[in-house]
Amino acid sequence: MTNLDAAGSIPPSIRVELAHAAVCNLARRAGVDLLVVKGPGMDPLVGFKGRASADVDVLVRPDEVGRFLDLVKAHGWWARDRFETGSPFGHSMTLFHPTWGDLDVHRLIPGIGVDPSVAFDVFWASRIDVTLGGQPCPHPQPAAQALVLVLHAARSEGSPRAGQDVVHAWTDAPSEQQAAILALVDRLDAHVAWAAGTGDLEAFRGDSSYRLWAVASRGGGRLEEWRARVEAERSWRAKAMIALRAPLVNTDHLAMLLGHRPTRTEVLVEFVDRFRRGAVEMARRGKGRP
Amino acid sequence: MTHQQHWELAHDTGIVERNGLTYLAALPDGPIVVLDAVASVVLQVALDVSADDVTSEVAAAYGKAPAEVDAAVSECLSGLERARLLRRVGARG
Repeated sequence: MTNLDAAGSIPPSIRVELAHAAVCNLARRAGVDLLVVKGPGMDPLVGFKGRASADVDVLVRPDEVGRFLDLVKAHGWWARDRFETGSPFGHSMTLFHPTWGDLDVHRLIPGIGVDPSVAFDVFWASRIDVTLGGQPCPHPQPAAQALVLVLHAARSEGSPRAGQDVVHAWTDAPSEQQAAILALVDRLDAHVAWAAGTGDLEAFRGDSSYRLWAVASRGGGRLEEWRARVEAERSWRAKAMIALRAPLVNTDHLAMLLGHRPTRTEVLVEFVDRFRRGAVEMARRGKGRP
Repeated sequence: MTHQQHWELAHDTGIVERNGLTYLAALPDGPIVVLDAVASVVLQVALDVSADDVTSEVAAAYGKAPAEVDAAVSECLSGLERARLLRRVGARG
């Protein structure tokens, strides 16, 4: 019998499976509702054979997110970023544990239009338990798994794996599964993001979130992304907040790039460089180059 | 009425078996413990038969006399018990 505590010594697929077991065990013991939204427990109809997972992705009942974060931090996870800085959608944050690796905590699924707590209730009501690492891990039912996967692909610009995900979970899915997925798209008001994931975004050119999903699914510069984020917000207050935050440095992202928390000087250098990059982007656009 | 005891995984034990090895973890904090091929067989047998029969079943599996494997089996199982991965419980019925 050998005791191995270093995550790097364990085959990644084993570590990830046991990490799912650890997270689900912790949530169950504390009475926190969460759903595993991707990973090795996905239904074979949804996750293609051989699809590797590097982390744990969970959707937490929105009003229990704070309690869950306190819980995992008390058990050795530390935050790599924050919801505000994790992505343009502000939907998830990543935590790291020396034994279990990365945990992505989602408070909502980008692309779903109904209130996050309503969406969670829909997923929760039809959840299924999948045994991972010997522990029951709640997952959305297969059609909901497929919806989440395609919505993820919709914001995974240029990812070959995202392309495979869409083909397997949607294009090649049996007609009954496709009908169940489309019913969820309707019920959860996920039409624009769904269209971005399945290649039909142009049908929503007039929608306020069109540009955001165009950037997310096809790519674009930082200026394009910020413009899209402002357009996608419904209230003027939210639009103003986004516009004010645009020039600020994402210190969490910078810390990941640097491998340490940035110093004041490094933040200042990055702040100035953002304006330089913005000017280059505008100049390129003026010359008609991407 | 029987008084046989048996071994079972603790409620909060994570387990993955792959390629003849067994990976265990006391959840939710870990660490991950790896059982080599022989220890994996000892665990499988311990989970299948009564506690009193583990040594003889393991010995039979390897074509040895019980006395030859007794110390190793006991050390393996007590180690897993100390690590809160395995527990000895009362009669099954």
